[in-house]
Amino acid sequence: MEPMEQLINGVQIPLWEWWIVWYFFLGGIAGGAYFIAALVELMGTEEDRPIARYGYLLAFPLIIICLICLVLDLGRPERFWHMVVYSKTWLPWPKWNSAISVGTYGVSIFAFFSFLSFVDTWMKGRLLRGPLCKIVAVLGALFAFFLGSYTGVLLASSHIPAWADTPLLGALFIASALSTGGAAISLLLAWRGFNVAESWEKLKRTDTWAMLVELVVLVAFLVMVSGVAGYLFTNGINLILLAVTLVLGMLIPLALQLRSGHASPTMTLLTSLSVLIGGFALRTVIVMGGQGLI
Amino acid sequence: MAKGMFVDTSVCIGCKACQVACKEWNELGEDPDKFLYGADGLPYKAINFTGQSYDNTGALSAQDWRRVLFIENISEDRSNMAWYMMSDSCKHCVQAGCLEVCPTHALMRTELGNVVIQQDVCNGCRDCISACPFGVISYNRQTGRVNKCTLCDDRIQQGLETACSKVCPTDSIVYGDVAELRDRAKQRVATLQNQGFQKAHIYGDTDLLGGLNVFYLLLDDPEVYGQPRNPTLPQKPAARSAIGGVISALVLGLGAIFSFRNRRSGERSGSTEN
Repeated sequence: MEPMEQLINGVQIPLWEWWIVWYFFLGGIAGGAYFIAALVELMGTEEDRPIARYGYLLAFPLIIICLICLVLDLGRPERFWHMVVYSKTWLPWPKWNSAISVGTYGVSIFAFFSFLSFVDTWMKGRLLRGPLCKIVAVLGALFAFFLGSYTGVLLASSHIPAWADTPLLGALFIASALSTGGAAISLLLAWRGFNVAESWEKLKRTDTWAMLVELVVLVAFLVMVSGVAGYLFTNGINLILLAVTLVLGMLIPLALQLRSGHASPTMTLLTSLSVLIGGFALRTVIVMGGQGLI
Repeated sequence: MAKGMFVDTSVCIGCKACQVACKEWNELGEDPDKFLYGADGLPYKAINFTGQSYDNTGALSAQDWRRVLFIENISEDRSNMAWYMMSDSCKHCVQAGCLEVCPTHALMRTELGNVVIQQDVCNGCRDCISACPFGVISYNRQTGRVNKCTLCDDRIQQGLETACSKVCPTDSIVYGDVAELRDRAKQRVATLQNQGFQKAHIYGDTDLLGGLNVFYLLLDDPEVYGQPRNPTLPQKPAARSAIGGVISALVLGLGAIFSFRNRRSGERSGSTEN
């Protein structure tokens, strides 16, 4: 059995493992997909509507899975409600200097908006009428972005060198959230045979932009932590995961997307899968590799 | 008035009476990772050899709230050698990172200034573990919660001193009012410096995290004792990361909006031409 108290630079690690990796990955997709869906809701054309539909239909189930992952990660899952209510007074007691406390409220609010959008989509627009639809989209998109980036801030709220000695984790995770969210929508659209070229183009441009930002931030992150978190780069598995993140998650999809012309559905499927695998590898190397657990 | 402890490492003899007293008073069991167990479920062999002198814990843990370090400090040319000993535990910081990040309010400060974990509130999220710059808090897999030194809260609330200070045979650990202990520590530093221990200093005066209620007299740099020179609150890197996240969100959001807007205006101009 591995010793429980594992130290990095004299700091104990929180032992956040696979439940948290899945939460960060699926939460990122949920946030990114919702943001794109809301963008289409606010600015898209009628032909773009399927993008919004799939974004909304993805976000809510994923955030529910995320909440389950979070509860299962707790040492005492039956006390999950202690996150929002102080158990001795039964009153809400948010703590603004605690990333998890702020995150719990933020994720709950996002879950509420994504639920509204999910039901509205399911009911073919009969729930949210008129300006209400736009208001929900704007507020939901804000909290979607919050979900995408706060997970990075949560890790930074520590003394683990790979997490705390860089200001870029929040930036990296939100960029990855948008790229993987877009990839998940693309995957569903390609699978369902969606073929409106102009709408594809919009989605592709958004995704390409997200990957470019992600690439720049990831390179800056690696340069920044190379001096303080050398253990990330001396482990073979970490190096493989970083290579997968860079090559499958960014370089190959970017090369394919920047080519002119419309990609075939099969190619779109493969590109989307590649981005998603890269996004999962990124969360794994940051969460597990950051703690020296792999 | 805040209560705390002054740990004078210059008179520690490494007897580990403090470790034993801590285990006894707080009824802390053995660390299951450090023993082999028989078919009867009882430990029959200790495998807790750290390979580091007489140190038998290697780190603070859910079952080891106190640890005695043995540090063989040998100069590069091997002309000087010092054997330092230090009894380490939770510092009960005035600005405590663990307490700040705890989302359930399980970590709380008592009226005596010590930081305790309410076991009936903690849900085992483990955020406090890496928020502590000293590596004090540990996860207890058996209970699904975290543990650390309480400054013998049950004793000091009754006017007693802590178990470790009670048994310390050399008064290396002294319990009392923090303000009085600081005065005592300053006098001791002056005495040691007059005796030639030029590096003798107080670790944990008000310059560190608002002051450590359990503070130390060290004979060498903090790093020699495995302590961070400038411990900080975890909110500092979190705030930096949040700013990075907001900037990234703006860049990503504006880029995405621009893509859509640009396209729409293109469509409009196209339809006008037609």
